[in-house]
Amino acid sequence: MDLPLLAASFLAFTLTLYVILDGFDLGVGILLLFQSAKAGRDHMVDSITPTWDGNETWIIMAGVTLLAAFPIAYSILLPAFYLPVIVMLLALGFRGVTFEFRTQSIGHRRAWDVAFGVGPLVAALMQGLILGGLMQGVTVQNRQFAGSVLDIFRPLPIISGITLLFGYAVLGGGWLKLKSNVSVQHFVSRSLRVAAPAFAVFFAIACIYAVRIQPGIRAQWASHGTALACLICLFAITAGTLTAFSGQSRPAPPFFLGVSLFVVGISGIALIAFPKIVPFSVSVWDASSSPSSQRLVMIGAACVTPVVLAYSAFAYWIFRGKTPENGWGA
Amino acid sequence: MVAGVGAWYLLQGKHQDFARRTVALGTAFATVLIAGQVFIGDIVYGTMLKYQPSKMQAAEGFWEKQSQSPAPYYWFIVPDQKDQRNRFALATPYLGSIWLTHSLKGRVEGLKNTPREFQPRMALVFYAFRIMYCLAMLMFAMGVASLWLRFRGTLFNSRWFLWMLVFMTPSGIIATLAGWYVAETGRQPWVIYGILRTADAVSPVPSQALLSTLIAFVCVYAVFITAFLIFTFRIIHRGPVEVPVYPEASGSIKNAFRPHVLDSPKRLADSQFSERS
Repeated sequence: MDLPLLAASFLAFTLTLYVILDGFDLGVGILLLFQSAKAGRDHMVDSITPTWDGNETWIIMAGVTLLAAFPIAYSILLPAFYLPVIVMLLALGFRGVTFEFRTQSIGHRRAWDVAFGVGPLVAALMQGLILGGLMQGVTVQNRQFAGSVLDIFRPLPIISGITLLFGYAVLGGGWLKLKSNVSVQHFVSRSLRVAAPAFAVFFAIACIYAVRIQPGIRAQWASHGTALACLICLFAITAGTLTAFSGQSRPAPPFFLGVSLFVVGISGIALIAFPKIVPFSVSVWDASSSPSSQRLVMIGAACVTPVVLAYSAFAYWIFRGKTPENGWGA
Repeated sequence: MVAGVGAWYLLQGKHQDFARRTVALGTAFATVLIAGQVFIGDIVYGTMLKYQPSKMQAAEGFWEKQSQSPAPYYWFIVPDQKDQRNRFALATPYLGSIWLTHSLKGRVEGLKNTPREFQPRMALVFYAFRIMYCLAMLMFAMGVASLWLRFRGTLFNSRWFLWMLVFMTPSGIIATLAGWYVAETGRQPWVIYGILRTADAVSPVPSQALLSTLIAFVCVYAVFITAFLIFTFRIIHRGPVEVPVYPEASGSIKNAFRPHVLDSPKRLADSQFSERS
């Protein structure tokens, strides 16, 4: 069996789950900034309270897999994306404590709610910066990072940051459409009508710009042209459908269409990056640790993943249906 | 911590029922667990001596390859890393041999067993270890005292003991942090003991970037700890009854299971909580 390929697939699986699951949590946080009614904000927080911390498990799994199975990629990517990674962690920390602090604070509830939104906003921007940084290519010499930590603050990463911000807002809006009651539905429809087209437009700009600046993408385009064209059509159709559904009262379509958008987008990115794990320079096989390490990682993953999936599914099942008016406790 | 908050309530004459339960439970758990911890700590100490000898050499404050016999136990030292000696030391004779070698006359190995370029800074390791160890001993002594007071039936009335509990509220956290400092500073200059030096493990990230993120960490966590302390003191001040049994929306899934707990008639009778409006 091709262990590096298996480990890379697992890494892609955990990252995809993270982006989709924490994506809607972060999206709800971002939308919170635009919700002026206190009751509406409480209700929106209630909708993600039971599951948000479970969703963050996946980025830890992805980080551990990258470190243990692909140490060379880890040693290149972490220095390259040092600033956005640290800022993202701080922002996620901020979001994490505000879940508890906003309920404790009476006079400063509004301030903590702003923090509750700013954390996800910054985290989404940073994740977008990292993604854009990967797509513009990382400077590597002798299997070591040879660029500057400031390389990340260039047009493509910044456009990707904004794209992901809107993308998460779409996921968050879809989630709220699915889980929230009447009181915030109007707000959600309005947000989706802005966020969905904006996500598609910025995604298109990012794609065109990336093709222009990165010859590696043009090379992949030459070899996988048909598949990539299909994905782009699929993305455009899904985004159009999502915009059409965002004003309607049916709860399920926006969320699942939003998830589809992300699945299509991630497939496209994977298609462009593969077989490199540090895009356009180091391949999955060149970045691998020893087979015994990778075997250990995979055995660990095989034991832990079903457990995490099971408890996540259990949590989503317990808290199925609409979020109650007064939160889950009442 | 649990016992400390309970002791505070007892001293203030508030929330007697709750306070008695927390003091009783807190001291009981602490007695058993700290005794276990001291025992495990002793085993870990032996293991460390074998695998990371320089850490333990620095932690005990001895420089010479073999200490005199019987070895004293240092409480306070002014180490001089350059001359490889203690400029000043305060010690109890025999205690070093008894505690560290479990014999009356055992000798203890000093930091000179480690080549100079591989020595950790003795002062850091020594004092971090002293803080952890003395707090552990103090907590253990408090546990034993609590057993004695419990036996005499005056656990809730001994004001001196309750004040001690209040003052020792943060001791567990401080001891844990000090232990962490022992582990990290005692391993220097190695990041993986004997294999990889910290200086050789640095990433290509420039130092300005590291400094700015360090400052960011300090600022963000200063906000966190301030808010945490304010909220904690407020919760303690409010006391157990007024705390909302249903926190409106916290990040914990436990709340979802609270209704079952609440259904018990005793709990319902006890608490005067008001339903959320």
